[in-house]
Amino acid sequence: MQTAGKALVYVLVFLISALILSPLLFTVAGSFAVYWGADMYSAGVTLSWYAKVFEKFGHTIGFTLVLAFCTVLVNTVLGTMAGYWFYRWKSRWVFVLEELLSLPIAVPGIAIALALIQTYPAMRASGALMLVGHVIITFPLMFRTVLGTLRTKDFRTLDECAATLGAGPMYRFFHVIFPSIRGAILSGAVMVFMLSLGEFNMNFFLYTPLTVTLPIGLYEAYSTLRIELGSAYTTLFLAMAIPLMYLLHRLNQSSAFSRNGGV
Amino acid sequence: MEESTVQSMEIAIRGVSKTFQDGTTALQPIDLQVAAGEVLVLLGPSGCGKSTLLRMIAGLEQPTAGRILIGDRDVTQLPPEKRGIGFVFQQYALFPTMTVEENIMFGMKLRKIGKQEQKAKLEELLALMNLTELRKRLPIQLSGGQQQRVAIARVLATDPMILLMDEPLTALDAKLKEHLRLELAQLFRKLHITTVYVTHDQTEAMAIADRIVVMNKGVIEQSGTPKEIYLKPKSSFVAQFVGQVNRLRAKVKTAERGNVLDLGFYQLPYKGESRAVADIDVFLRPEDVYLTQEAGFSARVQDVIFLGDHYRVIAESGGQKLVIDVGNDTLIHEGDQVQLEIREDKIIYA
Repeated sequence: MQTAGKALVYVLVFLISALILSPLLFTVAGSFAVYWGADMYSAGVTLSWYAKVFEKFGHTIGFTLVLAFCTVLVNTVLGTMAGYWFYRWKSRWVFVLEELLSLPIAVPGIAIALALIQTYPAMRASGALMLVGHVIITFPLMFRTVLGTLRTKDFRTLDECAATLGAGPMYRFFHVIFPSIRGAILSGAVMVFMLSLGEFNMNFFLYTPLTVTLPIGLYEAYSTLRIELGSAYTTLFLAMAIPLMYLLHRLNQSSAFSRNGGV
Repeated sequence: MEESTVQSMEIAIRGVSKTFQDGTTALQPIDLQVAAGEVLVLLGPSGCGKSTLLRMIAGLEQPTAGRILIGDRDVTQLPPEKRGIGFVFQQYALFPTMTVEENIMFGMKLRKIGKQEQKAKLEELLALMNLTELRKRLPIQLSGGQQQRVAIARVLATDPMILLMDEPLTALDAKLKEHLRLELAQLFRKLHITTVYVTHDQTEAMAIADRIVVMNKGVIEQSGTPKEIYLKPKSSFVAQFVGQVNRLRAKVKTAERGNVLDLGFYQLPYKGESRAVADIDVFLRPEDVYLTQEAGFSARVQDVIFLGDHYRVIAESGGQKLVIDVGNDTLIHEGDQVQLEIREDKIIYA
């Protein structure tokens, strides 16, 4: 009976995994087909689609990475500062403001994009508006991760203790608080990076011919070009995202605190 | 240690009070002077304002009114890092990412001391606090007692002008607490550093203090040496908070040879401040009642608790309950009728 139950669980897990993974696997497989028809490899196997992706969309990959890096950079500073500041701030209004700052997670990307275009039309051409948009929608991830980690331990006492030992606010942050939340900041950064990398919704409204990002290019590839090209493009995208996923998982498993212990 | 210790400073607290944002008053205006080199213990139940007062001396809390002086320097407006203090926290507050050595070096690095001198001081402190073997460990690899020793070494490394300790032993188990209490008392004697020590544990206060300040509900109830506090409590709160005590209802009556204290079951000469006939409460320590053969008064034993080195006996006489301590070789049982006598000069009229 017990073995039967176990087997059932395994079958279920397998079925669900297959359901989630097979579209991706098909896409990866299709990216190597000369012609993806009813019979995938009937016309042979090729790498030429990959060459085409780099030829046509190489610049979008570069731009997307730059955009994601800039987003991470800005939000690492902003999110960490805001998280630390909120942690130290003793007021009931903290919670109200915290919710407000987390709002971008709940608001659809389209809405934010349209609001941004209406508010800062001048910034659109340079692509700066895209960076602003990415910073806004990914900010809560960094902010929440840092604040959450700070709240799990008594950092206030550590901070007070460092003060009584003669350390000023900056020294305290960089020598006491930062080393303990480094893991959280890193995992926040990876999440921000991944979200920025895959953002489509908002990009779709904000992009200009000079600021095409990877997901926009992907959309274009699928909608106007060959499915095999789109598949190759998707595969490259996955190749970037999966290592990051893995890194994130590792970071969450061994955050700075589980290694070094608490207060 | 002595030669490297900075001149210890006196602390003056002038009219300091604290009302929190939500309107609760933690501390009524308080005046308190701590002499240079004195070990002063703030003793009181939780919520009496003792920790708030300590945190205000440290600068971790801002007083609502009043001034705080360390030496001649008015530090009221200074942040903690500019006050030249050392603070030991109840939860140790060791930096989790740093080793024992790094923790101790933390404050030293912020001062303008030569590398050589820093190293020498580190070795000295490791030896003093018995931590040499543990120098490379992280806080999580240490026991509670070891962690607190690191915390103390870390504070001493900065040569503080005053030492502030907030219930440093509370988080430790009983046996270790007793051991560290003795170590601390010896350390204080050796260092001659002005210390303000907060605790709710009266045994700890007695063992460590030059002077005890008993606080309750944001005011100072009494200030005095441990002996004064224990033997001559000035209020019923102090009598009941410090040590075990019996509270007895009594009547003061006029008699031919001066006033008499009538406990109902027993009469004694009244030695409190002169007053007319009145109903009062008096206090009596368990060790000031003893078993006797003749005289005294009779009481019925309600309960006998074996505490190792002595029995704690709960007796009843004339409707009043009496807790008394007797030697562990005494033959005494529940339900016994016993003769008791009171050391009349030990009765506390508070």
